Amino acid sequence: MNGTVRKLLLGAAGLAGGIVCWALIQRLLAPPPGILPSPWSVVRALGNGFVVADADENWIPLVAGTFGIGLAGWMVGGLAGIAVGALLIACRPVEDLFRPWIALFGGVTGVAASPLVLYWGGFDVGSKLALAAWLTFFPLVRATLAGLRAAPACWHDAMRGFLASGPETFLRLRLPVALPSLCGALRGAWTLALVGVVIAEFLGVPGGLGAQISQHEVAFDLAGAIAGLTVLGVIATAIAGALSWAEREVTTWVGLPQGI
Amino acid sequence: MVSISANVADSKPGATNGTQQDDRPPGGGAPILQIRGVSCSPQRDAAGTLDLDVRDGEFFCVVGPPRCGKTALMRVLAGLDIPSSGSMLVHGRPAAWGVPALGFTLAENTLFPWLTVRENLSLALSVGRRRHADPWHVDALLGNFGLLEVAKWRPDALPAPTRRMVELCRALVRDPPLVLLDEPFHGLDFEDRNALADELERVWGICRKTFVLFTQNIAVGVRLADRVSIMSGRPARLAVPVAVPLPRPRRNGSPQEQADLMGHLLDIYESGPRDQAA
Repeated sequence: MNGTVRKLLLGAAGLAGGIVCWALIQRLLAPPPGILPSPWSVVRALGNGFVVADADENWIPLVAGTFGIGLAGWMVGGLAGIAVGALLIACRPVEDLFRPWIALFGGVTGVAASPLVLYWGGFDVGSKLALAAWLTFFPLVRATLAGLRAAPACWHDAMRGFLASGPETFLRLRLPVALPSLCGALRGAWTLALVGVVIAEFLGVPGGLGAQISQHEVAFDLAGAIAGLTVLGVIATAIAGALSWAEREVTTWVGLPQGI
Repeated sequence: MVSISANVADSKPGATNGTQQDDRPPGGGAPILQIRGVSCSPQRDAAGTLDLDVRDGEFFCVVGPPRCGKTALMRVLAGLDIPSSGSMLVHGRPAAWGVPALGFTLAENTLFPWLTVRENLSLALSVGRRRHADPWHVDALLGNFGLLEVAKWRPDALPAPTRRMVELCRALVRDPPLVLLDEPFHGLDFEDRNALADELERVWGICRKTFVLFTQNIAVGVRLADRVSIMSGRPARLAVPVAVPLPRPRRNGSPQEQADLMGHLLDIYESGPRDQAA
């Protein structure tokens, strides 16, 4: 049995064990209704299409509403962050000028400022997209600045020896060297973008898994809420896994010994 | 270790292999590189003016202790840095400072790890003002060097001496008149040093270019060079070059002759170029 299969089997066993424990707790402790639903009720909610009692929609359009907007915002914010980072690196004084803003909104402040984005943009799909892009933008600017500066001086010397122009050095040296940094930032920013979308939906933007989960919680339908969380987690993890795979594919040389 | 001497039969027309260099004039031909009054040390107390004549087709070696200014001189000649004074002629014509016109390899590994060996060479051809990306040219050069079998490999998969040879190959791909080699033996163990020395001597015979090697090891100079100049620091100074009239290939040369030459060079190394020049 190879390592990957063993890992998968152990992961499946851990998941099954957790669900069994959950079922046992639910059966043995018998909590009052509405506190802890059984795993079967969650499965039933998933099978029924994760619908609120009086709603007529199932979870497929909700998934599209959350993940479609999340992916779109992630791409817009990512591309904008890379473009702005590449522009800033061309001019150090301008970078220094913007550095405090990048530092300020790059971390938790960006998430905390989410209500402001909704306040300014309104409670609609555009704001959700803007929030995902906003949370992706700053990590990508930082990663672009760091990545584009990561090439050692001797590699730049080699490019000078080939009489490479500035744009050629950018495309053939700086960008490939920055790829690991950009991929890592894009992977991390995907989680942030999704957090932004779900926060926007929790705060009242309709048409997404976050809004649906919130409605289930308000209606004390915990089975439906957990079903929604399950869908959210599985799809988010699948996309994150795909991003990790893509990252490994484009940065196969990273971490290998470079020698003398 | 991958053999890099396997494909000599693919040598381009007119080229010779490493054991046939008898048509090359001993010590090289007409001057190909001349520098006069070059001062390239950033440290004021180490500043000195350097004069140097390198002949076409020769294997020239600059030997000096660490931090004597070898790398600074090499970078100036490579067009990577600009000296505070002096002039340079290449083929008798004045050369502009700061414009890379010669091939060079650095002490560090400068092969790009995300590209294969072939792609590393092609990159050198496909950028810059003089673009002539020609895969056949790259493959012919790799074949001459015996590196065709590793053309699809990534640099990190190659043994250190092979990697050095790929760097040299890349330095030659744009057909420069002269190649500067900065500490190519840096970081190699004894076995790899010998393997690389053999390959450098063989390839120098094949490509018929002028090589200028910068090292702190006198034995390397005696092993490879037609002429050796000892460099000292503070102030930087180059001694009158000493000819190394030993037959090639030198792997199995007379140890006594090599020892005598090394002793002579060691005297210059220890007493300083100024005394020797006087």
